[in-house]
Amino acid sequence: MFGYAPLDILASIAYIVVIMGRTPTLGEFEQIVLLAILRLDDTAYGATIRTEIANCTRREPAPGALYTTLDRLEEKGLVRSYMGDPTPERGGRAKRFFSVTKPGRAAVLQAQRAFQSLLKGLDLLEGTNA
Amino acid sequence: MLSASFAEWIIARFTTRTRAVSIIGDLLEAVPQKGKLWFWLSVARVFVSLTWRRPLAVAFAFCVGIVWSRTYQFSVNSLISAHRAPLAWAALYHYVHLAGMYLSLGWAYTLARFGFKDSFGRYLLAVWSLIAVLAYFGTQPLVAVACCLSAACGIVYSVTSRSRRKDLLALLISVALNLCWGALSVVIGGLMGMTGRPLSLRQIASELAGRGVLRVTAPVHAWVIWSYMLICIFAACFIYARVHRKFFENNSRDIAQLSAEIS
Repeated sequence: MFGYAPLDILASIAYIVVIMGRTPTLGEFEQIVLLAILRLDDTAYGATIRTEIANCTRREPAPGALYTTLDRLEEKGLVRSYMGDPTPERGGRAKRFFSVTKPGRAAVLQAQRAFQSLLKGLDLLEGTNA
Repeated sequence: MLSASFAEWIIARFTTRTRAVSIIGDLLEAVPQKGKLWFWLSVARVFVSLTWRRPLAVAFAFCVGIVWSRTYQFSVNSLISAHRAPLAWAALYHYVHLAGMYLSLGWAYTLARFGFKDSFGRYLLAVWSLIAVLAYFGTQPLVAVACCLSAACGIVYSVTSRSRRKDLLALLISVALNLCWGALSVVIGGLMGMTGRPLSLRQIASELAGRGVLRVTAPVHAWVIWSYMLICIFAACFIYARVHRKFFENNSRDIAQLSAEIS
């Protein structure tokens, strides 16, 4: 049927139902935070995430919004956190580092794919829609 | 820095210690570039983002509690005879109403504060729905039996599932604490002049058995009644908040402490 093997179709249906059904939906700010963590890799903690978002989006995120979003993402299982060593410039306080989990990557990927497919054929930068 | 420690202490009242430490540390890093005023403004914004749901949740619980109490009194106690419990069952239905009251405060507070995805809030809502059906239509034997069977199935299901077992235990502890508070509130009601005089033990027992000492009293100022109701609702919300914290927020704290120990 349609040139696909039955097993491929079954696998696609299983993927859509099981995997995509489990992937949580993300808000705009949640996507920004996840992408910032991915960009920073091992050095992602509150201060660097805020700076990265400010540099990339030219918008300073509100500290309260950032920390509640990070907590929410952790509760959803999209990021995990671990404590680093205390440093003197922080008054001897430890950093809380963040890393994106597998479901977190899947959620970002799914959200970005949705954007890509919506953008396809729009030609926003040139032509009539510019 | 003493002021940073004070800020950390404030934030730690509303989140875990490790989170408060990391938040204040992050803000302190930016103080050399942005200044102390920015630091305190940021602390205030973090404080607001951590706490804004609490007053909203209490207000919502208050509204739901009032609606439950008034509609129940209106339909069951006075006008609609079909909903009125027989005299022999009046004390039992008083407890059903009381449980419905505490559960309505519980689900309203928990869902407003922690969101609709909160499992404990949804569990409270489910149990409250059962209690509401029992309270309004339990005088019909078929409905009462169906409610009892549903409750039994619910208990069996809750006991067999690990997460639901936690919900069930949290629910039982919340309701038990609320009933203890209910007994205490009768004494407080007596002290606040709602009974005209302090109550004797027999009168308190009579009130708890649903024979309504508080309703047959000398008139009191409206502000006394409202402040009494506010105290009762604050106490109920406080109990739910503490139980939620004890049962459902310990995991993240444990993970944070564990990761601190590993690193």
